[in-house]
Amino acid sequence: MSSIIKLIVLSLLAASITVAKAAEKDGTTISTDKGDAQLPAITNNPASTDQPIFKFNGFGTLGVSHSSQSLGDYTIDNTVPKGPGLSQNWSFANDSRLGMQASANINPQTTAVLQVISEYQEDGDYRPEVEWANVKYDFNSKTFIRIGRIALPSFLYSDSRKVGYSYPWIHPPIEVYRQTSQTNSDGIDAACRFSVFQAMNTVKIIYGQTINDLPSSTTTSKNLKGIFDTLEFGSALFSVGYQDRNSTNYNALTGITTGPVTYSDITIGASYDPGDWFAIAEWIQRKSTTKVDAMYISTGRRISKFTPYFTYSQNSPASFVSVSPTPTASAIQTAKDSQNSVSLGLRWDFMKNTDAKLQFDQVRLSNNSNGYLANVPAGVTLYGTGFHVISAVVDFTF
Amino acid sequence: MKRLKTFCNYIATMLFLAVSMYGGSAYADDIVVVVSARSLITHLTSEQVANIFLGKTDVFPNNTKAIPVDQAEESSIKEDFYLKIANRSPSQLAAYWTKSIFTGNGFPPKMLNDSVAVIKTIANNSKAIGYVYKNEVDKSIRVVLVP
Repeated sequence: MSSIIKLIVLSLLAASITVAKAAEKDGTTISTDKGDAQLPAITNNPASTDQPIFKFNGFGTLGVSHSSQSLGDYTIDNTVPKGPGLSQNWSFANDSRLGMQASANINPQTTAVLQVISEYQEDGDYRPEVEWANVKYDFNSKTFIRIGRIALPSFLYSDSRKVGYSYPWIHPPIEVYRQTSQTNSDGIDAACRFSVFQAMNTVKIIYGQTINDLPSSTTTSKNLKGIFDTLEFGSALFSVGYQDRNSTNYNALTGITTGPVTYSDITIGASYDPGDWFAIAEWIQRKSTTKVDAMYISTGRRISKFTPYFTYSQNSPASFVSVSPTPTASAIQTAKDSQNSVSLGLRWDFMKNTDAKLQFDQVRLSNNSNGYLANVPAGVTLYGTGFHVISAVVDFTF
Repeated sequence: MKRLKTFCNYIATMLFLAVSMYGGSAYADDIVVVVSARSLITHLTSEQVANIFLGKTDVFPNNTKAIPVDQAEESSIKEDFYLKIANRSPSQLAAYWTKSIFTGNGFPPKMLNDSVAVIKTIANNSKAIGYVYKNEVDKSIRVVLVP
């Protein structure tokens, strides 16, 4: 945990204690029009519009998956060291996690939030990590600034990808979401909302740095800059984003031994969700010394408590964009990693704040790579083969 | 023959009763969106109301602060309101707010126990907006939308 995060966590605690003490002294207030001063009122007044000062919320997923390919592990991210397939027959690694969030309304303009997530991570344990710790200041109802560890909104679902209850799938399509596994950034962001004709437009800018621990290395990205624009019109949403960062993750892909390498991502996403059904599509192009693109399309229909859905997802092999340093043989092979998936699934909202999902993925590896399979023993080539994955989860929030 | 006539009468009576009961309950089930009688807001569109209740905006069209208040969890008025205004079932609404809460975009409106509490709150607060059944409306509040 970096020192900036420690500082923010401590100041959050200090601010919370101050607010709690003040609230204790004044009693709960009720907002009315009678004068500017807030009138002291009976605690737990049922007619108050005030929100509580502190809120505690949690989410979690218990998930198990099985892969028919026993010579490699099917992992949803490069941060997951092992999964179903070679290492485990049935595995909890990909989709099981627990998250807790505390938020505090310090004053009407200022809120602080701390989110901690426990999930299977690069070193093989479930040690909780700080996902977010930030203070948000609202200049007005349309403009805010946040400082601390904040969500990195690379994709439509990247800031909620760990919260299974919030989306239809078992997890967002891996061929696309694996391109950027980092979900947060230490720094600052600011957003502004305004109307464009009948539509609502939100522009967000972000600046910061990230540290991403992988099973065999750590990627440090500095000077992360991004701009994201989201246009909402009724049930339709359209989003474009650009970000770049100077990253130490260069060995595997480029063979360059002195960094940093500049990575840049262009992302485009669109969704249409009138209620009874939905359609979602996203595309990303990630560029460093190689260029790779990935996309998925997904659609589903909501029939009472059931949501059957279909997804097609793929990533292209990477092409080398710069000829300057000669890539190593392993970098050339890694660049070929490419696969596609056809997924069928069902979400069942069987209980309040709880769902169960079942998903079947048919994965096909490209003709000259092992795709995103992890831990494939040296010399084993599964090029061009297909396998299937069965996953089941229960998502809940509290 | 007489028996058939009686049977037809019976069916006709039942149909009449069913239709009038349905009509009666449809009247009682009419939901209206309300603000304080002292509010300057006189009319809102479904889309504007949906944006306020889904936390996509926190102001009325005249740029004054809007504070939405919800009816009780699992109440039929709440379920009907969100189906009408946003075509969202209770579980879809829960998923929507889950995403919003855990991405730092905001919390659902405060829930009040019943229409009495909703009316009392709105009457006392010109920023508040809520929804009640049409036959519950009194002089302290104003209807701004019949969704």
